[in-house]
Amino acid sequence: MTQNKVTTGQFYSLLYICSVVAAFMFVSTTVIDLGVTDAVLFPVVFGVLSLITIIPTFLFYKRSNGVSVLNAVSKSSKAFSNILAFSYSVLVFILLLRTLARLDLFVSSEIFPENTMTFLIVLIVIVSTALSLLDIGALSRASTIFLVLVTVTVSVVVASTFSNFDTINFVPLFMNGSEEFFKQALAYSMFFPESACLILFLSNIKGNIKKGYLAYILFLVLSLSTVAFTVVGVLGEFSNTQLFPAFAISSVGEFRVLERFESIQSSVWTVCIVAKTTFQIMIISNCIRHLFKKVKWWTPNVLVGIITTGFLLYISKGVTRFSFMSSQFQVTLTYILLVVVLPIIALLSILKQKRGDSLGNENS
Amino acid sequence: MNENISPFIDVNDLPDVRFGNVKFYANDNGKIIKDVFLNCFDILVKEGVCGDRKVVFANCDGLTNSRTIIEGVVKPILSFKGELPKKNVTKFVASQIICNTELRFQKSLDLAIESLLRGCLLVFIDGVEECLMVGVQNIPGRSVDEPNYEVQENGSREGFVEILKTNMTLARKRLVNVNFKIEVLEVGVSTKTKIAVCYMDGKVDKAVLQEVKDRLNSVKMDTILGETYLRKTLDTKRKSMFTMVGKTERPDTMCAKINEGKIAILIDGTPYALIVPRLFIENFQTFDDYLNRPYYAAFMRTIRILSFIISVFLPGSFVAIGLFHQELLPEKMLYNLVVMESNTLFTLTVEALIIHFIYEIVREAGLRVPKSIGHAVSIVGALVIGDAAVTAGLIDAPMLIVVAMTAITSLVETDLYHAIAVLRIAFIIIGGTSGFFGIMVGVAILIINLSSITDYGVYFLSPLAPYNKSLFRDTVTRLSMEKLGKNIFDINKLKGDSK
Amino acid sequence: MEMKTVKKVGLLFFVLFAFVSFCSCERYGTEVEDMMIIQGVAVDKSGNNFEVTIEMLNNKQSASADASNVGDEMTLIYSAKGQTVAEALRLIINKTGTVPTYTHNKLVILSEEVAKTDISKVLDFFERDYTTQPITLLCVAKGEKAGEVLKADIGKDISKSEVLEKILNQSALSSITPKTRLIDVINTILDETACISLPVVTLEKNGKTKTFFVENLAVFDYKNEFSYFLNREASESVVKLLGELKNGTLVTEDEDGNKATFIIVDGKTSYDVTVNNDIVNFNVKVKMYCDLNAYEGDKFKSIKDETVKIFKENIEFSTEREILNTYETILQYGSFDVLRFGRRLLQNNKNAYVKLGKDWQNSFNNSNLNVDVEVIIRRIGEESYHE
Repeated sequence: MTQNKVTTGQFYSLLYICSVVAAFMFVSTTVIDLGVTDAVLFPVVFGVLSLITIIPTFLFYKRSNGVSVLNAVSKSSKAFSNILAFSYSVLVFILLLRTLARLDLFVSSEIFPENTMTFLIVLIVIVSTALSLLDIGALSRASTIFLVLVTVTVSVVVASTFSNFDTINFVPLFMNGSEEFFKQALAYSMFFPESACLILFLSNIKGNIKKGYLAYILFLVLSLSTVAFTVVGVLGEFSNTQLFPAFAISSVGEFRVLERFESIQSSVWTVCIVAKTTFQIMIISNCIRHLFKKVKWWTPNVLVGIITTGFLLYISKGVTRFSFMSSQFQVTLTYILLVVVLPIIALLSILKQKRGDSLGNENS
Repeated sequence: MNENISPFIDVNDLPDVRFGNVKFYANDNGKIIKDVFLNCFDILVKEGVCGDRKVVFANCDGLTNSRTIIEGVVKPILSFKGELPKKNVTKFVASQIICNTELRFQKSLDLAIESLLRGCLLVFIDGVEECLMVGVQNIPGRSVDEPNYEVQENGSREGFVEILKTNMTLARKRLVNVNFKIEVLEVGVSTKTKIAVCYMDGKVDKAVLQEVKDRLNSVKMDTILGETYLRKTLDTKRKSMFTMVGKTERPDTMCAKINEGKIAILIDGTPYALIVPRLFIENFQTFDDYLNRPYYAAFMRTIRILSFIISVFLPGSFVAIGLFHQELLPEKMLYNLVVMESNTLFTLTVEALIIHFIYEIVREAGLRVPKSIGHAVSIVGALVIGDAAVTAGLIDAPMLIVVAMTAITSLVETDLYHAIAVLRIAFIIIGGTSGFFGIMVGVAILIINLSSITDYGVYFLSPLAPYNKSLFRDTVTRLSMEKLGKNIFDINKLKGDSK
Repeated sequence: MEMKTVKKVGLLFFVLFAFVSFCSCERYGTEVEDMMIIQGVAVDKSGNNFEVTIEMLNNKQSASADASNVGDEMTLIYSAKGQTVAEALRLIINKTGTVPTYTHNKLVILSEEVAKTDISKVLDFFERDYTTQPITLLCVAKGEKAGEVLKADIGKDISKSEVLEKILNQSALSSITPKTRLIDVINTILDETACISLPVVTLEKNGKTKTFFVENLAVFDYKNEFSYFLNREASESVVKLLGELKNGTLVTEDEDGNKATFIIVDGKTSYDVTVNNDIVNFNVKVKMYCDLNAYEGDKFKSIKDETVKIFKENIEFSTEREILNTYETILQYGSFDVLRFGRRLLQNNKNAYVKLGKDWQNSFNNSNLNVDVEVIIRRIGEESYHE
């Protein structure tokens, strides 16, 4: 990993825009019903879950003295750190494919359905690959600007749709029972595994990461709740008929003579998508560099870009091929591995290493 | 004289010493100078007698003040009837005979001849292996006048000129401070251009200062005839359309930047000062902002930023809306657009590109054409673009309005015009092929590229990204001078963000 | 050496991109004059097929014998037939030669015959198409074919869809008919306990031209098929019970029979639902803020406090009576819940809804309505006022 330092504000801005674009491009599935009032509380459950699942990462941070996971684990076991690097690269690659597949579906369904614009998505992959050759600092600094852009856009869209709020769209909470509510809320939370990337960049972040994380989660929960509230209040059950419900809000909003802000809103999402894919390619390339130390500095990035393009061209050919990308099983498994399993394994490894060191000191 | 110098000069191969030291006999020195400048009409060599010794005077006619030479130097020397001492002859002449304050002694004939070419009078005396260099320069140049490009509403009307000494004086009189230092270096093998590195000791970062000097000393160019020659050396290594080397024509601006801990470089022969490091936000700030009231300064800075955004994105956005996002247009506007577009021959993208290229051509012609026929360019431009193109169906009226707005807004930011002109064309093509979607990909690339630019320990987008709360007080808005004065903008405060 | 390789790879990508971009493999956007900017759509039945009529902006590029008005008119009208609405709309392309876009489509007019079928099948195209706005208005044509409404001669250089859209919006604003955007209709269809109601458009002769007239309401059943019409007073009562009261007009009398006209400036409806022995009782409170617009009785002398009180009582009484009559009519003719009382029950008493919602038509038929109208007369105009 580069030793380029970023502040907590910058890093969490990057995580925020990665998460929020996943919320905007949320695809209606049979598992999660976004049209019911319960959806407003889904982000709260996600917030609580995020605060619980980050504990292993914070414990790891304390034990490793702020060294990122691959570097810290490689001190005790090179092979184990390689396994970790491989696991992270595969899982983040799945996230990358999911992001781009959803983007392709979005572009082909909502923006340019008359034309095949797969080459645009490939262009984004190329651009992201090129940008991933820069350091995490540049991306994080740019994310602070994107954060302002996203916040302003969301505010404008919500404000312009405010007059279309209708209380009749709201139904009592836990309409289908609390069990169903928690099942849907957890399923919703699985779509936001971005916090797993924190452990990979611990060496690069300066500042209080715990306070920063809390602020990030609070702001994210607020944003997601606002979006969910608007989706429910403005669209009601109509949102379940739309492939991208959050996108449909902007087609309802109007401000004087201006109507239909979808193109502006989706354009801002594009900026976030570029940042997100760049970040993901950066992570995968850094993991590959950890595995193969002697490769040229640009080879992993280009390799990831080419493989991603190949997969993307395959997926974009038919709508059924998207189903794997959106399947709840895949999403849940990826989340559990990335957010829960791998950090716990890393923590156990560092604890074992510390114990081994202290035993060694005692013997000597 | 070294007769083996190849006409294809490699700057690393020039001998350091060509003429050696000053010769014992004055006539020998005179002969060498005559041989070197054979057939050079402006180099004058005169012989005379001072006391009991021969004296040779050499000067460059165009660069020296003849009256001062005759009255202050030649006449007193030639009319001296006494006996010159056996030792310290030049010192005796300098203190007892000549009346001139700028005097130096030089043993190296190479350096003496160089000084001759800078406007000094050389005095060679028989029996002395040292020459007297008398400062009698009268180098022709412009008088201090109002700057051409950095026009301000308020404040001083003085601008830099081509003479380094004058520029140094303009700065020195504004910063009456013992910590204000000016170090003179020399760059360029053939031109040996003098450059002055100006900074405020105590405020400037020593490491940055050393970095600047190292970069300047590493310049291996043969000629330095303008500030652009040095810009590449001083600029960041990161490839970008934007530069971290600023430029100013105004001494007051330069002094303000120096007071912020930055470094200014004055170059002999150019009426500009280069300032390092320059932040992106400074492109939207002028000295007038500090002379107007804070609310107006904030308003004007916002206007400038909006002008930049409009000049870069408006044509591309218009093309994108016309081709991909018609839903954004209200009906009446859409109907008018439909009617007008049905009369034009080309697609919106091609129209936009044609009209922007025509505009650039007219602009370039207006820049190069002599003033006497300049009005013809404006007539042709107005006729061609304004009337004939629309009537002929090459472009339509909305596109003309877009181009007019773009042209006006791009002139608000002359410093960024190069980047604006190229980015505008790029975004027209991107907008025409992929709508807002592609434009925002371009925006993402642009912002990430800007975020990655760093040099001299400072990020280009500071204090926006990374965000610096205390320095944000003088970016888009400006607090009152009392509040700013308590904690003045200091470039070194941004360095903490990069560590 | 590495940078050269990176540059070569970058150059290769650029060349590929330029090759793909400039070889006309892809169509980059559509010029506005090549677009069929649809303003309004009318759907009729033609045997087993659908006949679709569209009104589009005149882009000066489309010409066909089928166009009912040509030349410099602002809009053009085209018609086509197809097995489905979607097919018929695509067939219009063959006549215009332009690419259709529904981004500015303001309304969809359904004929009575089409309304008598399940309209969710007709609306599926508009819900699925990516350019259609969810705020497209829907209405039913009465007495005429839907296509004739779009073809009506209402004046020169006028977009009929735009005029009708304004009338429908004003009608919703004036609380004559409820707002019936596509999104509202689909939400109602997705609500198993609710039925749709759409405003009714008729054509009236106005000298040589015609004008649109929107006053009545078309009521649909649980299968989304048209059932019957409600008149203007009933329609206004439906608006009040739906909680969409914004503006409106009321006429009442004093004790001497002099008429007074009031305008409603704002209105609020609140609901309280109780269930006793599986009988649902809806307690609705309607609050109206009114201003006196005109009064026949005072002969420009000041109005008295007692008179204002009489007006208030009369308005409250007449409004309550109209609402109750409308409710009785709705229950009488099929108990189609156009008032979305099922949703109100759900919001107030979830358990009762779960129990009664399965056979809501029956439960609704057995329900009771208690309405309490409160009128607050804010202003009486410029004339003087005596307490």
